[in-house]
Amino acid sequence: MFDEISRRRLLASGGVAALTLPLLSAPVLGARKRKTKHVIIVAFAGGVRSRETIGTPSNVPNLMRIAEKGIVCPNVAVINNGHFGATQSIFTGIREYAGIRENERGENPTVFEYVRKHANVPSNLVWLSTSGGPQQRNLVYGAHPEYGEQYGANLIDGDGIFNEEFRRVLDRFGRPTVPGKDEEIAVSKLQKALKTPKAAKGMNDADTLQKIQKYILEEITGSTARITGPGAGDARAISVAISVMRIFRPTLLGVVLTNADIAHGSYNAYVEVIRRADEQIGRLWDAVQQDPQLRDSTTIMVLPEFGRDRNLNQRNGLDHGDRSPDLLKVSLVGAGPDFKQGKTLTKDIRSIDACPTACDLLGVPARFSKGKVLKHLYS
Amino acid sequence: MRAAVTLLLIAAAVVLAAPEKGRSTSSPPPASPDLLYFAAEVAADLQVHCAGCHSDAETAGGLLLELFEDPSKPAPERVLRNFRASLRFVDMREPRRSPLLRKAGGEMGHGGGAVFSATAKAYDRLLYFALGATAKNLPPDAFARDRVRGSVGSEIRLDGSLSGDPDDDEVAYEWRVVDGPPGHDAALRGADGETAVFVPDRPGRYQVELKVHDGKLWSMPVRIAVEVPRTPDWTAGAAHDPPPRAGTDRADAAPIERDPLRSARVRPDRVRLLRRLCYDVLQRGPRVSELRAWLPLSHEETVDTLLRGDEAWLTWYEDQLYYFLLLDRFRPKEGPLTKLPRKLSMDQISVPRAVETIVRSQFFNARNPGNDTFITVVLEQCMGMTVQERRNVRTLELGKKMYDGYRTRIWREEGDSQADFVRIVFGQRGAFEHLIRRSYRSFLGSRIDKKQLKAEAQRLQQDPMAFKAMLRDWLVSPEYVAGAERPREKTEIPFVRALFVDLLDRLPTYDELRNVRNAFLSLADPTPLRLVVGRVLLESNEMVVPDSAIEPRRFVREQFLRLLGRPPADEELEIYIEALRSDPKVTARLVIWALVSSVEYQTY
Repeated sequence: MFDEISRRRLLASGGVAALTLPLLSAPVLGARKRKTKHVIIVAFAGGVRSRETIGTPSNVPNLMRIAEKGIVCPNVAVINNGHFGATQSIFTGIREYAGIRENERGENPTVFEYVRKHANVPSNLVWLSTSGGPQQRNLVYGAHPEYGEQYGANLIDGDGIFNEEFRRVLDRFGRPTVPGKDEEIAVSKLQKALKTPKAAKGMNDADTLQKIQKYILEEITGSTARITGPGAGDARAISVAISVMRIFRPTLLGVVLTNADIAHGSYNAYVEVIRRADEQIGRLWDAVQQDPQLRDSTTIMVLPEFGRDRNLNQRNGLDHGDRSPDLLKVSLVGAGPDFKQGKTLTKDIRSIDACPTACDLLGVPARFSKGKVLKHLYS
Repeated sequence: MRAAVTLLLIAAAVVLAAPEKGRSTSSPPPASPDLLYFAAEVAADLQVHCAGCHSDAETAGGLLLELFEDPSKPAPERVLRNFRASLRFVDMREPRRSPLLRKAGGEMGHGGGAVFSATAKAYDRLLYFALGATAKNLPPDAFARDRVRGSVGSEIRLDGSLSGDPDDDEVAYEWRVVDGPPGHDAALRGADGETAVFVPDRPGRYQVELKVHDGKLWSMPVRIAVEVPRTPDWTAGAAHDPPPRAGTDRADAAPIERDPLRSARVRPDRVRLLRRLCYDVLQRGPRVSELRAWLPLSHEETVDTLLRGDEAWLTWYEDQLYYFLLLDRFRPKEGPLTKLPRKLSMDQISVPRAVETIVRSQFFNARNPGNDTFITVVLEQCMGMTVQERRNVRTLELGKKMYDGYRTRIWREEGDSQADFVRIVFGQRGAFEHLIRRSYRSFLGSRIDKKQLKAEAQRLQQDPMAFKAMLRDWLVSPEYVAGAERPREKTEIPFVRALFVDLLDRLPTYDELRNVRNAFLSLADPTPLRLVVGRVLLESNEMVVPDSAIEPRRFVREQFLRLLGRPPADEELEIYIEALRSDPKVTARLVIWALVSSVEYQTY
């Protein structure tokens, strides 16, 4: 549970305005036709305590700005089962016990698969943008026999691709030419002659592949590749997310941040990462607000996978293993056309509730999720 | 041009050299050199390399050649005269001993020195000419291991099954004993079969020769040296020496005679298995030179060769670093860890001990800071435990205490430090089981049977050095061999390594591997990026494109073998050759690109 003092601090600062806003235009309860057409789930992962976010609003002015337009849930229960497992739990709606270094698909379907399968949404409308490295690929779909790769999300890890190093590799060998029509025909003829068994249909159709390829080639030389400094990975992930919103206007967009885990070695760097991530989340929110197609139909939810220890370690950093409330209770900030506005909702909820709530907003069932739809967030 | 062709055709009908007489009545006679083949394949080489001196009577020696005014359209009569002049320097009984070849190769007195090396394509064409190649029929290739050992009275199996014909004609075999110790009476059974059995009757050195015939032409002979020591001092493993080294008879070393890739009888299942093995052990595809060296070996010998090499253990080491996510700033750049691959290949350290060394390192410690992360990761990655399960929470908490310096007992062993915890973990049967479980899955792509797991773990705990032997057993097992029939997806690291080897003939540097791998891993569907990077390498200055024009058939076969791990089907071969011949857009580079960008290249 989130203690009263912290709640008071929240109210005393950015939360005040939000909480005092009257909700005169709240729709009639029971009318469940959702206005949400797009959902963004930001896993503010890497281990982030509420103390440094809604407990210190000056660190996260942009989150507070979103909270003013929506809700804050300060009592979100999580389990400390490693960054990967805990993040996976947000997207599957099930407590996942994958190891910290686990690099395999989970057994359960993800929110991406539910949306793609039950809303019949193509792959170019369901995305995950991350900064967490190879493990994150396992978040886009699981190994459940009824779901799987064919319903997976597209993923871009901006940290891995839009960086100076990869750009240098391309520069060293030279930029490729674009094949001409004659060459395409000749290659196609040769490939058609191959006696290869027919391959399974890939995740993306040719048009989407071409769009992604074009975007990648543009972005490699663009500004995202030049982002550096603490929290650069997270900044890239959000930068990619903004581009994805602009190009594809996805139905569901997941964003996974991870840089806060720098806290193991330095508390100050951890706070700096939070501030920078908040700035980027603000950019993402603004991009949505500035797009007339997205502004009134997009719901955003931001929550960490777990917190961190109550006390500093010997390196003047913060680990995650003391089982304290700081570690096992986090906060969720959200806003959208179906959410209440300017409310702090202290009811106990769980991080695994984010998945079924996102599914409900988009009108699909999260069949295997153990979480609950957070109907009390709805206006 | 048409007149020239007509004249050549008329000339070709003229018998220019009498067939050899007096040979064994059972063997077809050697064929005469062919004028059309000469005109199409050899005349231009002689113009470029020889006519400079040999068109001048003072420097020509016995070979006086006509100079062509326009080399692209030579006058037919001049071609015919050069053909006749060249014929005088061809020995049809022993084509390889022809003065034309020996002088061109610099083997016998030649004012111009060596103008063709024995490995040059032009030299091959000259040899084909001497063997009687025609535009429609190239000579077959005999192939057998060049050296075997045996004991007096033992049956030594000589295998010629990799011999074949580039035109896919059926070949007939002829084995004969050409040399041996004085007074020997060694037996040779199956002298006309694909394999023959040689039984030496006294110690010494024997020479057995194999030639094959495609119905029209003979191959060059290959010779097998059979060594029969006085006292057997060899083991079963030593009985199969690797392919010949420099310093052997040059005739044996000539590439076209012993190139197993050229054999139309290369078994697709054998190539597929070699490729699978190479990907599983070295995380890349085989080079052409490796295919050549390994094809004649048995599967067991190939496994042994690979596991003896440094590259296998360097690959294993990098794989472990990746498993433990010791990447980027956590990756050791120098120090004891970097010496592990060499120590492993030299058997100076066991595999379980090497894993423990990695876990004890400062890099692992830095990667997994804090008691909770460190203990969790060690239990998960070294023991395969699911730490968050209720039954394991106590172990986690005890481990964290030990890490923090409290005297604690775990699995009946006491300790009070981080190092103690690692020591205790690596002494557990569970640690051996987990290492075996993940290794088996990595190499065989499937889960190990529980019974086998228990037995192997017991064996490894008793003798940690047994890991290599265990790995060998897996790789030579029938399950592994059968598994090669089912294609596996190339994951990112093997894909990057293979792409560099296949296109640039070198492995990527660590930075190249890291950066390209990370970029691939950054996409749920890396297909578009794989194509971009493939094209970048293909068009780079580093890419060396083989000359397809010299022998399109050979070129296409080699590309299929090395890039797709199989010989082309007849229909594929014909389509590719036709495209190379008739479509100006289809170059050697484009053929390689078509194969590398194919769906089939994504698997192994």
